[in-house]
Amino acid sequence: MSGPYPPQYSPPTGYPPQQYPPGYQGPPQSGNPWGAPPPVKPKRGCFGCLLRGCLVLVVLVIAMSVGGYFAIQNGLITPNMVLNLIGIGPATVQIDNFRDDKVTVDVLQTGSDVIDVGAQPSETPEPFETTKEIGALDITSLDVPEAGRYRLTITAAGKAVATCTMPVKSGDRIQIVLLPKPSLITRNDDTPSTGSELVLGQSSLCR
Amino acid sequence: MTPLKRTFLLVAAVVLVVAACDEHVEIENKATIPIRAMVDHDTLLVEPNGYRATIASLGSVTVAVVVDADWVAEVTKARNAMVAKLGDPGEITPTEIKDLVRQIKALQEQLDQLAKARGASCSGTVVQDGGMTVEVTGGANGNLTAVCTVHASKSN
Repeated sequence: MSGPYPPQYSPPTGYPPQQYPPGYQGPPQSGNPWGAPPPVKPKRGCFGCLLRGCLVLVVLVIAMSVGGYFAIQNGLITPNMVLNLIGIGPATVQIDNFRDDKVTVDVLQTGSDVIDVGAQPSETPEPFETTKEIGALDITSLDVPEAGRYRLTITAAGKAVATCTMPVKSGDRIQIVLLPKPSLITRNDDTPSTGSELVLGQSSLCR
Repeated sequence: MTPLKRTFLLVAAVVLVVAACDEHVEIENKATIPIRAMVDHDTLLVEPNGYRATIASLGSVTVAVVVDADWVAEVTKARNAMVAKLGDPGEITPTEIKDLVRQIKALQEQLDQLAKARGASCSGTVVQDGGMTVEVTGGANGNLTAVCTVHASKSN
C-alpha cells in the first residue's frame, strides 16, 4: 500500500455536467437549497371518517327502504320480482282454457331444487299441491312457489286431457294453451325448433 | 343455531311475510248481461247479479270488464286461427311455429285492447289487510261501467 491515508478526494472530471438544456434556470432560488418544504396537511381523525361513513350508510338504507315501500305499494316492484332476483321467487304457469268445456288442473310438486339448510334429515318438506277449475274460454295463472319439478294433470269431466311433468326454475313463465286438439306449451316465450316441441305432452319441457 | 341456519330462517320469515301480501278483489255484476272480468292475468266469468272473488297482489290493481259475448268471440277467433295453423304438429314449418308463438304472446295484448275498445276498467291501490270491490253496471246497450272501491286496512 502506498500514498497518504485517507486518500485525497478529487471529484471526477466532467461532473457535474456544465452544460444544461437551453432555458434551464438552475435550482430554485430560496433559502433552502433543496426547494420549498411540502405543505403540512392537517391530520384528520379516523373516528370522524367512520362516523360520516356510517351516517351516509344509514341515510341510504332509510332512503332505499322508504323508496322500496312506496314502489311495492304502487306496484312498480312486486314482491315476486324481489324474490326472483335472489333466485327463490315463484314461477308462473298461465293456463288458457280455449276448450268448450271446463277443465280441472292438478299441480303436484314431485321434486325441489331449493336446499333447506336448516332441515333435519328426518324432516321432509311438504310438497306443493293445488287444484284449480278453469271454465271454458277462461285464463288462469298459478304461482308455483319454488324451483323444482311439478306434475300437471289436466282433466275434463274426469277424462285425462294432458299430463306434463316439467322442471321449473325461479321466475319462469310457462304458458299452456288448451285447445280442442292438441294443446300447446311455451316457456318464457321461447320459440321451439320443431312443431312437436310446442305440443303439450310431446315437448321436451314435459320430460 | 349456526349462522347459516339463522340466515335461512330469516330469509324464510321474509318470504312468508312477502308471500302473505295478497288481498281479495271482489267483482259484483249488477249489469243485465254476463261479463268477463280481467284481474292481472286471470279472467272470471260473472253472471248477471253474480259475484266472484279473486286474489290480487298488493299495490295498484286494474280490473277490466267486457261483455262476455265479445270475449267469447275474440277468444274463439284466436283459437280457430291457432287450430288452423297447427294441423299436424310434426309437419309445421319453422315460420308457422314462429307465427304460433307470436299469436300466443299477442293474445293478452289483444284481450287488453278489447277491454279498452269495448269494455270498462277501473283501478285502485290494494293495501295489506284491505281489498277492493268492483261494481259493474250497465249492459242494456252493451255499455258497461266499472267502479272500484278500495277497502282500507282493517288494522286502521
